Amino acid sequence: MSEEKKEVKGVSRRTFISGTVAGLVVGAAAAYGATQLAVPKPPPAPAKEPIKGKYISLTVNGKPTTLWVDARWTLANTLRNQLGLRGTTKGCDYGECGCCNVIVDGRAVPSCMVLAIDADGKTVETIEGLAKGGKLSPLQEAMVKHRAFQCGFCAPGFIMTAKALLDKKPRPTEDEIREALSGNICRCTGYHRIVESILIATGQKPPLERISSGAIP
Amino acid sequence: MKAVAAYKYYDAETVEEACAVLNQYAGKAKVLAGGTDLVDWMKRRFMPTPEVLVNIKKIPGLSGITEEGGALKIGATTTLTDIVENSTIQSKYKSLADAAAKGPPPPIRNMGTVAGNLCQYVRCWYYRWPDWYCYRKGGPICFAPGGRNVPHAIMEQKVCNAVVPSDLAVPLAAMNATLTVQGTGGTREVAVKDLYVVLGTVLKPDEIITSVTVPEAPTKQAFLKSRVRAGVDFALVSAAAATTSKGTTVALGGVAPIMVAGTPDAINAAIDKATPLSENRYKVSVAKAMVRRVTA
Repeated sequence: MSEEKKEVKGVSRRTFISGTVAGLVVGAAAAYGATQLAVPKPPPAPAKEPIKGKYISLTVNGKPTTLWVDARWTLANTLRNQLGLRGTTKGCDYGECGCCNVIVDGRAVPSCMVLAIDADGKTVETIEGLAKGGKLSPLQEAMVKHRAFQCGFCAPGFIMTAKALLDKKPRPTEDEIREALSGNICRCTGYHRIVESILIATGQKPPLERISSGAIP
Repeated sequence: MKAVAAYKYYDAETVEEACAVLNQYAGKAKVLAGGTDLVDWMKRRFMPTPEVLVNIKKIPGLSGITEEGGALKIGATTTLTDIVENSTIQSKYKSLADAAAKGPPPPIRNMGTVAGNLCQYVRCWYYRWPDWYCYRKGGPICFAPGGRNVPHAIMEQKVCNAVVPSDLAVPLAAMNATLTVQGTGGTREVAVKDLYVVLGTVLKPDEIITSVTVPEAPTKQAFLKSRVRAGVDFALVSAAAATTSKGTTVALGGVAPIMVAGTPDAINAAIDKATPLSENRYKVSVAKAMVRRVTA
């Protein structure tokens, strides 16, 4: 009863609110029109459709390869499961541990974070490409000789990251090596022997001389 | 790989094309640049997987560092390694190079892009864990004030207590940098300090950042960052200062869900009025010391 009375009297709450909203909308539209001189064009339709997967061609360890990949596959999974290169190990799968690092176009990247479909036309180097003709590379030789690793799960990531550094800078200092390897996690060795092996592989003397003095084999 | 729901992939060749696809799948398409945050974000599956990923790395002209007329222009898909190694940035914009170098480790820097660094998702552990249906995911509350909140915000908390994770945003905000943002409606300029708003950025779903412009090389600059493990961690508190012809600007990172930037006095006043949560009172004194040291 009272509500009807109110409505008869004057403006009801509902009409008042809708009126205010309409006023706001008109005001906003006027302000929009004033700032936007040209009427925005309707967006153009995209030229092609999104895809679920495609054939990619990439060079893996110097060998041109063409294969079909799903849009969801990462480069680490594609290398391991499609190309059979199981040397690239997967640790965390979130780009945190550096175990899966490979060299793409001359730069070390975590391959679990690269979508395989995105690596189309790129050059990929993995741990399998280092040993030439059954002979280990000097970096690997030094690592084996000075027992840089214990369990070895993180070794491919460390070695590929170190190789990317050595390709750019043949004689890095210890600080530069530690900086370059800061994204790699090793749970066994405490990193000293890895860094010292890289120093020895580049013809430098490790600062602590623990390995080179023969105190620790 | 952790099972990710099916999505489709789109290789954009022009910015207009990328915007058109983003507009067509409004809100359900994501821009793929470096992918170091987006792929991680999808694998952890605490948010619905997007329907389409739009790769903008193959758009020509979107990467590169140029300097013209005293202003520095950085393309959106320039990697952080390019910033660290660029001689112009090393000499004239040292704080920016410092921030990139003190960010992620080198392999992530090789992939991560400038625009991606600015637009990455927050690192709040409640947001990043599927079981916690927090405000940022569309849930009812923020869990940080009543839970563990060591890395969370000490000021400007509206509904979410997660802090801006970007390292580059701090020196860029101190240097009054602007972003060029392109969408289906046209191009506009956004200041870096206005980029972040409550629960995200001011970018619309169909917009992408095309470049970052620093208007003027600062005469004096500094960047500091404190973190638990040097080399890999996100900032607990970071601070940058830049002195240009318009005066000194200080920006703080890691303290608020939005960018905190202004004159040193204004920033000190803001720190005095900070409202820390139960476990992050330490950030107040760290931030004060950092402001003193970057402006020294």
